[in-house]
Amino acid sequence: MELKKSLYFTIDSIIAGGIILIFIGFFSSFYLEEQSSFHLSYFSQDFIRVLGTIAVRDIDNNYIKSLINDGTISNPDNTVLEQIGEFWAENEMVLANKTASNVTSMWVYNTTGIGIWVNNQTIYNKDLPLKKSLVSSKKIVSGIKKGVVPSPHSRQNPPTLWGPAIVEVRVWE
Amino acid sequence: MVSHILIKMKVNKSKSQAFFGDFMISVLISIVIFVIYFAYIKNLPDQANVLDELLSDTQTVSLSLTSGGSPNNWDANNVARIGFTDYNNKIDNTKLNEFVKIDYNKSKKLLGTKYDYFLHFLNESGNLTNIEGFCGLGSPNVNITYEIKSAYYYKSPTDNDQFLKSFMENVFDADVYCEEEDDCPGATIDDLMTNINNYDFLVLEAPEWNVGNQYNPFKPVAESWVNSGRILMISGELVSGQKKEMVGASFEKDQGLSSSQERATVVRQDEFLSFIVGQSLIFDQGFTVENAGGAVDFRDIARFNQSDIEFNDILDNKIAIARWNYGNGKVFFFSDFDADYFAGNFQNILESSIKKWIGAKCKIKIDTIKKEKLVRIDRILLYNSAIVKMVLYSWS
Repeated sequence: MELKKSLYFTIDSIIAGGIILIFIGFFSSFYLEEQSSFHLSYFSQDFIRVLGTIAVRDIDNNYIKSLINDGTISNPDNTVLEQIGEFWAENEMVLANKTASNVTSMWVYNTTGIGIWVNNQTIYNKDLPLKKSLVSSKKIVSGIKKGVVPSPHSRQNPPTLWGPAIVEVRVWE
Repeated sequence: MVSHILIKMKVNKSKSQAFFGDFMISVLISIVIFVIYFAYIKNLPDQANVLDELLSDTQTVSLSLTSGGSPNNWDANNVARIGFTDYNNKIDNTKLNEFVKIDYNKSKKLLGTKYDYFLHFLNESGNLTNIEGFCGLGSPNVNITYEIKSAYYYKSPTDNDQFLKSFMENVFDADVYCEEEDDCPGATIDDLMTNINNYDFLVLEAPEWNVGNQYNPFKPVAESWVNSGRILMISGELVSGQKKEMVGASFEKDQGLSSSQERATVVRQDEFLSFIVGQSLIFDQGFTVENAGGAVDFRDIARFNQSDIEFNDILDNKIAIARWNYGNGKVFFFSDFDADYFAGNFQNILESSIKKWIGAKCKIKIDTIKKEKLVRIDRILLYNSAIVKMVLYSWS
């Protein structure tokens, strides 16, 4: 009788080949997906532009409207960034924090961090760990200090200014 | 059979053996796998390059769109570079409306991309939002629908006055009603009155109702319906009687049902209807409306010239186009949907104004399009006084 000690089965080779293909597909998909997250680069710049353009009187936001209605915001012509700067200058950090969070937090994903700093002092920070990249944009703001010099202001009765201060928006993943 | 030929490995003692056929098949399979593997590995950098190029293109498109474009006050005819903001991320509504007029393939060339693109806007709740009446812009292959239940009523299929019918059916998937049961089985005015609370938007195009059987029973139903926050659009002859009131206004015939080519002039800029003040319109038939006391925020938009020539003399003439609020709802009146506008296409302006005016929610299916690689870039912009997110997709 002839001995049959080892056999090479076709089905085994197919299974082995399939496993190799699955591994190739699996790891290559990681390789490709890794590259698709660069939209952050615009976010900080967009926020600086948008919040530096829109006046608090115009923004469609319930929290800011309530601050205007109760007189907390005395100059509704301030841009949102100027208003945050004004709160910072008056040391109203809670108001500055809530204003900043109300106009930014809903626009970024849960996995994206966002924060606003004035002269390197944290106003608002969606505290997420930095894993991939961070993008920052800055703008200089200043304004009139409230209640120091009574209005109307003129050359003879000039207002006292706060700032200039650097407002920085950072976005990261 | 070849596959059953046994190769006997007889070197002194035969301890192992293999079938030649199986061996050959397995070798072939291994070769195929290795070929696929190396081809795939070779393609990986190519695929990454395609993705890099797509990302780069999308970035360029995004930068262009959020610029002011070129020349400074560009329109669809003279545009060299498309951009619809004021350079501070505030959407310029005029430029956005011009962007919509540009043919899609031409827009790709102007944006400098060979890839398909589509963009839409999200509000702060993350829901799709209608900007200037548009749910989204770009590739015509993306399926856009408006989430509003709507109905359209006209006199009969043989009547000429059905200028908005196909638009209502195609864009809003409107249910269509008309006068005769034979023409519209199960969709007459009685059925409309029964079903009216299922709808949020109703267009009545020249219904020419008689007073007793149609206008009288419909009036209280329509008023209650509009009052509850719905949207009504009326054109042409609403009812055969003169000065009949409904939804806060009084409707009457100006020059009769026969074609009279009534000339009118735009007297007021309207946020929804992009007519230019001072420009002329010619309505095939002249019907007019005036505030009967129940209309709130009544805005006359165009008035008939009648015998006047000077703009200031026209300002107190009869009204050809108006809109107003009634209770919690809104009403728009046009003398006729069959009209010519000297400074543009009346039908296009009418249709885009409807999309803008009703502010319908949108539904977009981007996952149904054929694509290999898809890139998404989000931008933060200002639309009027609201912050919106522009989502730009680009794919190969």
